[in-house]
Amino acid sequence: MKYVMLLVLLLLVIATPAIAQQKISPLERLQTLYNQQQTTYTPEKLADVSIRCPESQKKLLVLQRQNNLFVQKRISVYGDLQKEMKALELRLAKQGADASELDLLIGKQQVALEAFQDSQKNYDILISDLRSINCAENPGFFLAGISEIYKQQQKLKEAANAVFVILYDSPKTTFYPLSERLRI
Amino acid sequence: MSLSFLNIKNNEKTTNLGWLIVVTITISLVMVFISLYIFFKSSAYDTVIQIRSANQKLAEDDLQGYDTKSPVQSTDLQNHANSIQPRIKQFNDQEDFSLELVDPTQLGL
Repeated sequence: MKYVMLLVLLLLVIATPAIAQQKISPLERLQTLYNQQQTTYTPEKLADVSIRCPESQKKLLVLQRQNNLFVQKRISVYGDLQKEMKALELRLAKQGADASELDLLIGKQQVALEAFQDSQKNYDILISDLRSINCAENPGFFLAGISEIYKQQQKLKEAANAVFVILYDSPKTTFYPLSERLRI
Repeated sequence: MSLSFLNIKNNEKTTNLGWLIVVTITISLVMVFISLYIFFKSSAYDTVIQIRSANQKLAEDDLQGYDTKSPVQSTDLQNHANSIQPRIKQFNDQEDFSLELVDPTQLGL
């Protein structure tokens, strides 16, 4: 009996990620959000959203495009800075200088940049979901998604700011001390 | 009651120490296997792979056009440091990712 239970447990552990990886439709994702939020809307509110939401979907498209542009610009500049730092690190390594601060900075920036890109990806999926459903027929799900966008925007802003702060502080935390040490 | 190296006996049961060791090792192996399986299936492992591949790519391909050979002078580091803030100051995260942009009233609801 014990072995059977152990085997079942093992199968559950193996099967769970496989089940989780199955593709979920936009409507299902929004339905999950709706269920998680456990917010009840009045029939009047839902009827009002059913009428207004097609216009809202158009505004979401504008927001999505604008957002993608902001993100791409940042990734381009931050990516260039990262390459320059990596090149400096390689040059320092070749001359036998200790560049551990720079290595740490590149690592921190990489992690922050990945988190920023992940936030953007989640945000983008949510907006795409909201734009793709028939919102007039599913106003509750649509409102649940709109409520979630607020949280995703907050996460995106924090992730963007984390990369910014790392880079903004980098002269003081990394480059000036490294420069001083190199002078000596 | 008698006690030996391999057998611990009491009035009711006999427990074989060798059998206990085998069971313990088997459970440990199963747990190690489960942990490894979860790790390899997790986003943490994906992130490790992504960072590793990103670093390799950065080191090999993307640095074409960048000086990676000449010795670094102190002024090189200062020049680079001085160029960072002007380049990133163009970004206003508070404005570009403002929460007002996603306010339901802004979205026409």
